[in-house]
Amino acid sequence: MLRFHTQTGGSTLTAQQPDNNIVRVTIQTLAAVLGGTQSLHTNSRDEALGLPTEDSVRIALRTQQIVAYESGVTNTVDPLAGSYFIENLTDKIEEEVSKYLNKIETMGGMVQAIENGYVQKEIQDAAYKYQQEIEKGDRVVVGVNKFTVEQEKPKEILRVNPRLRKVQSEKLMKLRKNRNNRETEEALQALREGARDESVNLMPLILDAAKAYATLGEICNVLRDEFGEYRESIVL
Amino acid sequence: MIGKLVNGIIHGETRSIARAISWIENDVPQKEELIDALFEHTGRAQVIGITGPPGSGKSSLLDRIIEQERKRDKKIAVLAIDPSSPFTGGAILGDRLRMQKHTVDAGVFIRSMASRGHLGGVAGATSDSVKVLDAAGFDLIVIETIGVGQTEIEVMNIADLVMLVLVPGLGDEIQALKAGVMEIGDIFVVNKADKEEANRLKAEIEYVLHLKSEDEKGVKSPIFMTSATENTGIEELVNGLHEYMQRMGENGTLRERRRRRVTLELKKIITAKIEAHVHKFLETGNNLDVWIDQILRKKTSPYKLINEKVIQILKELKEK
Amino acid sequence: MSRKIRILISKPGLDGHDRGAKYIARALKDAGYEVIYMGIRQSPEAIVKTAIQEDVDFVGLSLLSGAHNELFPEVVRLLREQGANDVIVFGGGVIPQEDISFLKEQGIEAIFTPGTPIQKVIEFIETNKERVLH
Repeated sequence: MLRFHTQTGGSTLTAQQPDNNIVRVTIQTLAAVLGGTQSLHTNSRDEALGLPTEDSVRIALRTQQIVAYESGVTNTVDPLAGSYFIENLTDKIEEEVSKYLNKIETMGGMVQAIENGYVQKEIQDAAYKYQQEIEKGDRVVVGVNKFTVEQEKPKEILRVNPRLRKVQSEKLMKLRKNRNNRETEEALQALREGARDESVNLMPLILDAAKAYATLGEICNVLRDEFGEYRESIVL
Repeated sequence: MIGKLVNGIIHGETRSIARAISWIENDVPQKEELIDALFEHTGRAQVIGITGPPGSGKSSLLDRIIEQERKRDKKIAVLAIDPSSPFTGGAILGDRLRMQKHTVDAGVFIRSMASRGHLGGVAGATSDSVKVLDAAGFDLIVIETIGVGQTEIEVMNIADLVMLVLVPGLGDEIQALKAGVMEIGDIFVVNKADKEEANRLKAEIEYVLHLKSEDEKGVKSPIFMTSATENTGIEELVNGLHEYMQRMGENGTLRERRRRRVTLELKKIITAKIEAHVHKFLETGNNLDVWIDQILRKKTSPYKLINEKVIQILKELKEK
Repeated sequence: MSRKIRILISKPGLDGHDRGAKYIARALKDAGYEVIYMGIRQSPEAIVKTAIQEDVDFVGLSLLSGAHNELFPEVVRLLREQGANDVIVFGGGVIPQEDISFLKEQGIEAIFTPGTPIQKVIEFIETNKERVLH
């Protein structure tokens, strides 16, 4: 079985009339479920405005639950099976995907393609084209270039309490003081040595480090030291 | 204004250096005065060009070279050239991204430069900008060319030494070698040397170099194997670069090159000046229209007419 | 003499959402400007150093993480501190309407929120470029 995760499209969220995003996310959720996804992330309606509020996150979750428990699409394995149009689209996607995979293969594989900037270039070209279509009005985005409203009512936006930063850094200081630092150091050192040996699976070592109260930053710093940091090839 | 700028530059002040380069790029009227004022402070820096096909990793290699040179406490300036769009004149300048860990280092100055329609792999402003950086006290000035191939010969006329970077696996390397790109390089770098075909590429370069007639002073062009991502071979490259430069100084190659550079530069300035005068002459009055009519009415022929007029133009220019 | 407008586009802070910044960079190039693209995860210090070395006329900052009230003003402050008084700073990204007046007070001259047509950004540059001609 092909297992896959789906996330609804962040770039389709609009800052204008943000409640419309609930409808967009619903359609995308339904599409993902009809496509047989095993794992799904639904975006919140206000993510083009800020970090989502508790209410917005709940709606995003409820969207999945409504599709799962109320719509009935989960009653059968593949509700769209046999639809000529869907099968045709699927074949088309498959064909295009094969073209891409072959092209990437001739470049020497995905890693090479990313190093060459090919993958980024394809994404950027698509993003550029998409945006140009919206700006020229060739592609309709409801509430942005069509069916707009003059005065939008103010939206409720999540404000992160600036005090949280202080609270968090105090927690961190406390953790570093109270943990068994020798144990933490040893776990990080084991991770470092593991990183130097290509045959070692790092996941258990990362878990050990976390259990020894090493922070995410400390774990990443070890890996950064050993592997260096990825730098994207920018092709614009 | 110029005095203040000159003073800032010779004290190595970033804002003055940057502004001066903009003046040169924008060809402001005060440019000539500025360059002349800086002239007595120039002549100390070593200037190297780095060229090679797209994807050869020039910027990443340069990033490592800067790292090495900073360990030796050298001050370094980089001019990274990218193409301007021939349609809109716009440009995306992104080479410095690969050198960004040096951004906050006061001993490193990086400037992106759009070619602005200039052909030859560098910008029209590159040569004068090198003078500004030289006067500002940088020990090493590196010109990174656009990197599109055979036409990139102009860097030879600006740099003391040119480093040609090649990589295995671009597929057309042998073609490139045959096409005369090899003549540009003084020293050769096989970057991404961790790839398996690297040794084969090295052998190919050696073969082509063997065919190349003995160069100016019989100095053999060295080939270095590096990997910018793995950070290998860089120290050897930088050592080799300085050794080569030293040899060029000892056997007179450097002196000859600098002489050739001044020769070409003077010729270029003279031609540009006269051309500007001619354009002005042609634009003022209706000289050109009268001549065109004469030609169209078959009263005279183009060469005959112009050969007579050239003398007249020169005379008028002299009177002014 | 041919004067070109130079614009630095960068993302300060830690979010990696660069679709918008890249779109702006490319669209500004197509509009005939010289764009220095710095990409993601830049510190205000690095942005300001780059702006000065590149002698840019405008700095465009994009941010979607919510830290705009801290990072945008810091870029302006460092620019002024280092004597780059003539550089015009603008911003964009996920920025709530009610933060815009604060950011403008801090010297960020324009904020472009999602859905802004690129023409608006170009108009802003065209109407303000006289101020930076030197």
